[in-house]
Amino acid sequence: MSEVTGFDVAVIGGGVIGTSIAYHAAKRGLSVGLFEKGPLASGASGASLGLRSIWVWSHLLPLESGLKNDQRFIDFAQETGEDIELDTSGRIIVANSEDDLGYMHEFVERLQKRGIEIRLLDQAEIRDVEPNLSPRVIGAAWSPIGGNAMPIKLTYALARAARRLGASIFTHTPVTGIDVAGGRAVGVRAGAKQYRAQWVVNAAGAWCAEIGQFAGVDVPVVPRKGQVMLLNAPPGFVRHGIASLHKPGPQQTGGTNIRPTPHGQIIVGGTSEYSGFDTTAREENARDIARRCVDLVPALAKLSVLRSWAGVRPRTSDGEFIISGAEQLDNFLVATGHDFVGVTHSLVTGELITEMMTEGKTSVPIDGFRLSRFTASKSGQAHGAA
Amino acid sequence: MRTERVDLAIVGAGPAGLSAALEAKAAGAEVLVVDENDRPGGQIFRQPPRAFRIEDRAKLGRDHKRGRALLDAVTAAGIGIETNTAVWNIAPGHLACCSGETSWEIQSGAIVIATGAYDRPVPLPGWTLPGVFTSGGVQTLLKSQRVLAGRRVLLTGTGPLNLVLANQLAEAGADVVAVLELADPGLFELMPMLRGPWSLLSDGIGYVRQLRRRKIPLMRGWTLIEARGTGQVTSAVIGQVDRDWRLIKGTERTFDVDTICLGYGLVPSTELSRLIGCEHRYDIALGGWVPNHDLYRETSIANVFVAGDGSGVAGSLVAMEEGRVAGLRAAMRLGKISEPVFTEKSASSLQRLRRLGRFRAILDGLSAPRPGLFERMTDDTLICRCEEVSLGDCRQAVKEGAVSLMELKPRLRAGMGMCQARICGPTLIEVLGGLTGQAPEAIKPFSQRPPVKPIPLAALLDSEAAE
Repeated sequence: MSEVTGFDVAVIGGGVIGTSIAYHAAKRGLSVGLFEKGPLASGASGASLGLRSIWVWSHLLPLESGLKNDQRFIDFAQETGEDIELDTSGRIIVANSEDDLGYMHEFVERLQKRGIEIRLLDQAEIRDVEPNLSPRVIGAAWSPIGGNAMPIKLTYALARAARRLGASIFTHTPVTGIDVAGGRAVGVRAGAKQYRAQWVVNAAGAWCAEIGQFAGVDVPVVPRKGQVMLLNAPPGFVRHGIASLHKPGPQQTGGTNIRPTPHGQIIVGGTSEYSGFDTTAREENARDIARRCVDLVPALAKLSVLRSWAGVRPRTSDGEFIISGAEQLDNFLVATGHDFVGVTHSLVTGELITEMMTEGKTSVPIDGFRLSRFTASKSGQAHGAA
Repeated sequence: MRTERVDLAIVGAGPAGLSAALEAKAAGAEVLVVDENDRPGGQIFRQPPRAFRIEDRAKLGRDHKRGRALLDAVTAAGIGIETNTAVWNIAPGHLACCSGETSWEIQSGAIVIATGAYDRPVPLPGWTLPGVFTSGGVQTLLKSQRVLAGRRVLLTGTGPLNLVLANQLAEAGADVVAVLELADPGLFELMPMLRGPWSLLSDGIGYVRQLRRRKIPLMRGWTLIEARGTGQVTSAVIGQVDRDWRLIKGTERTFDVDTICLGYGLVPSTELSRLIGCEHRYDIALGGWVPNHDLYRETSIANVFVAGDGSGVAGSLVAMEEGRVAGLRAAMRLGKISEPVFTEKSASSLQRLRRLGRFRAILDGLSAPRPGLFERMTDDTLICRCEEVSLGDCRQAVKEGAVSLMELKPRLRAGMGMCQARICGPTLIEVLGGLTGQAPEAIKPFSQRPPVKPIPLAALLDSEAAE
């Protein structure tokens, strides 16, 4: 075996979550090695729409922490000087059925009661804010919170910032084993080398289950495929990130999303399906996305589709995150399950995991994200296709 | 959604696709050909628009005459051709087509991919100035619209297209300043050509003779260094190159021109063969990444065939023979003819391909890109024109650790624009290879994703379902 080197933290996974952990840990003075089997952002982070949600999708993240998400992005961009195509223009959510409109009223009221800035728009305001919205959109709400960020640029920016703080980023370096001794994870094997580590963080997204097996830790996460399309658009065609709001069902999806980019393009999506790790962009999905986004903005039908692609998001059986230590291996941490809100929660996840390592506890209670919830209940068995 | 069911679907109505269609149809297969253009014929047999009235066919040139025979045969055979139709997705037995704002589908027992090739983009200082064209683009303007791209024209690059085009431009009234040819074959290299097919050789000699008659200098071993001008190209700096096509310092000269044609050979259009998942290999002599195929044009995927420049650039004569073989083989796989009949019917084409192959190997040896070709760029030369990414940007990304196209793309947006990486893709492979010390074949090309050609979003809306 070649020379053994070591880090305080070995992070597995080079997406928005893993690089955020690397950045936050390095910022707190920990030495960090990040291992990614492909290029950075080659999983869900490379396929994502890049939406930053208004509200706290996760019901379990304390509100006071969720509300700081916007500020976290602004601070990161300012502190590092990195361009992540940060857009803080807020979000528009729309309803185009009576059912969804009823839910929207309820939803907006609930958020307002909790002190979240959001308000319903009247028809004149809707046309004013977003002139290309369909007349069939019967209700809309606007919040100054949220916006967009380019997820790939965000991943690279986090990695660059981490590297400037001394972190080592190993791309094209698959982890092939995790060394366990005396009830602790003691290191990782990657790229035919061995690295000692005080902490091992599994942030491999949809691949977390596979990585968990190296340490004998069950991580009940499955790949959930999402597809998006890229359209060529004149500037200002769509002014804000637009999302459809639907009454939540048992298999919550990200709805229909339309995001303008600063490059004269619009990304539309998404879809949700369980088909393993397959990332083929399918025609049926493209048609489905087209139909749904034209329902919201009919003029999109005039635009050209340049590309469509898909990625797999990490999905837990209860839809909540896993940000937790493993019961049997308490220096083996897991950060996954972000499904379609990974960009929104990338920075907070990095903070929380870093707090676990440096403080031994998190600044806000996040018991609901514990891995042990799956062994405590039967729901751990139920993950998979609906 | 409309669905057409046929035995054999053929993508591309150029010499390869049409030849395949004729053979397969004659063998008893139901055939449907799709092509993006308004009229069949491909680039080599490009026809003027239907609305044009042609007074003197002879003016359309020799290629046109050759193409006429093929097109007439196709019409006589009653072969269905869907023009103005882009294929935007592909799977075994399935083509997603888009005509105008309508998407429709072809289901077929077999597919022949005969998508041809496009001009190799070779970035050099000033190549984004108005007045700098690709040779293929200038030829398209001339053949289809009878439009001259400019008055005072310099052609640069390598290969026979520039010789043909220079004569066509002169014939149409342009002042052709010179044809710069990178290859400077010594006598030794020319010798084996004498055993080549007489028609090709006489073509080649004919083009050169015509240039001489028109007093157009053919400058072998010379190339364009830089296009200059403000808002429009006004002059061209040229220089002499060595055997590796590297500039010999101190040989620079300047010409006043208003138009430059860049004709550096062709790049195969492999979008569909890659999207469907055929195995490919890198062969710069054939234009870059090309699908693997056997003698009978069968790819690594059952019932998917390739023919013509899209499977390796070799010109229209080769393309027609390859098309015939592919069409016959497809008919055999579809059970329309037996193997002995296939063997008998394909024998003459296979023999001609062997003979043409020898000739082509010599031409390839002369015209295949050499290292110096990608060294004209300076750090501020744009490689990706859609997203304005320069060589300097690539150099910086490599310094930061990028080793694959997958890592250049998100950093720089290279390949994310309207052309879907057709322009920057081939150059980026060479540039990244040069900067990182990797062989070009070690660099994975940009992955193909539907739609491989931009299509209107409206085409994805199922009008029947919406009613």
